[in-house]
Amino acid sequence: MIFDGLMRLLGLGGAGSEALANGGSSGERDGPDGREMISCHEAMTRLQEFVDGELHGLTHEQVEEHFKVCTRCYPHLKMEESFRQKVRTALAQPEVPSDLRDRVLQLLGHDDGADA
Amino acid sequence: MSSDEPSPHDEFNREILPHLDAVYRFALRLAGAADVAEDLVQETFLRAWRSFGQYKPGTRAKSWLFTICRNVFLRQVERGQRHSEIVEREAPRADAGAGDVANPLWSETRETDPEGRFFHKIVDDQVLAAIDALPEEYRTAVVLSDLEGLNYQEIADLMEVPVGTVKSRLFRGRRRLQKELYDYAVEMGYLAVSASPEE
Repeated sequence: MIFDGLMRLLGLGGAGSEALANGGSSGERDGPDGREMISCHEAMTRLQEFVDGELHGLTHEQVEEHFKVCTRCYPHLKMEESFRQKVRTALAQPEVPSDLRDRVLQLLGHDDGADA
Repeated sequence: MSSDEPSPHDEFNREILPHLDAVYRFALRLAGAADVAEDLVQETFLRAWRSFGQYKPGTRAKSWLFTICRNVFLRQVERGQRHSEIVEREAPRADAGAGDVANPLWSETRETDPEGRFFHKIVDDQVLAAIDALPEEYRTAVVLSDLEGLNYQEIADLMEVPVGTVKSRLFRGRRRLQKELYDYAVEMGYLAVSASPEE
């Protein structure tokens, strides 16, 4: 683990990530709590669920650990996050017409108690 | 009963009305045009009020309103035309996204912008136009997830499809959006095209 972290800091790639990409989780490398490190294929397969916070069968930490260590998968995560952030910002944009609430209340025959 | 007991009007105004902005934003993405969205919101709240007796306090009011809103919208679309948007056959994949795990865009961007910073150079209106161009099934799933933060199960309940289908719609919808925005970014010169993508 220390070696992998160091390699990543040096920009030399997450050791083992390439091998794991081909061979699935080999069990050669373990996560911080002794669990088997997931493979690149599994990390990429679970990318959407990971970003959505909807992982089942794996913990958030297990997948996060892979992205922390693997220089090959890490940019995919960053790209997905960048995309999601942009979509969220854009979707939150439209201003709600200021009189829409009044029109709805009028339609329903309510007042909202603001003037009660 | 004491006269202090809140009237249905009061309860509706307290529990349901605060979601008006969220319903409007959702309606806008469904309808695409502000005036149609406003009509949709009014119709949604009218129906919600009429069936407020069936609303169980404590259930997620927003999801309930979104369901009504979408049903009204789909009925209007059906009335106006045959539903023309055919989403590719979407046999729910047990593992949505497993088939093509690596984002195909990445082979284009990995040399110049591997972390997708180009997305932030795109104006919001362009992003919204790309979302609006998605088939309704994808658009609804993406909006409910990325705008409203509904989870897969909530979206599945609302759209009356299995969770696997929701995952698949989100995956495909997002891939389409990414491709659309990537093409736009290249066209606008926000992103240099990789000369010779490997693989």
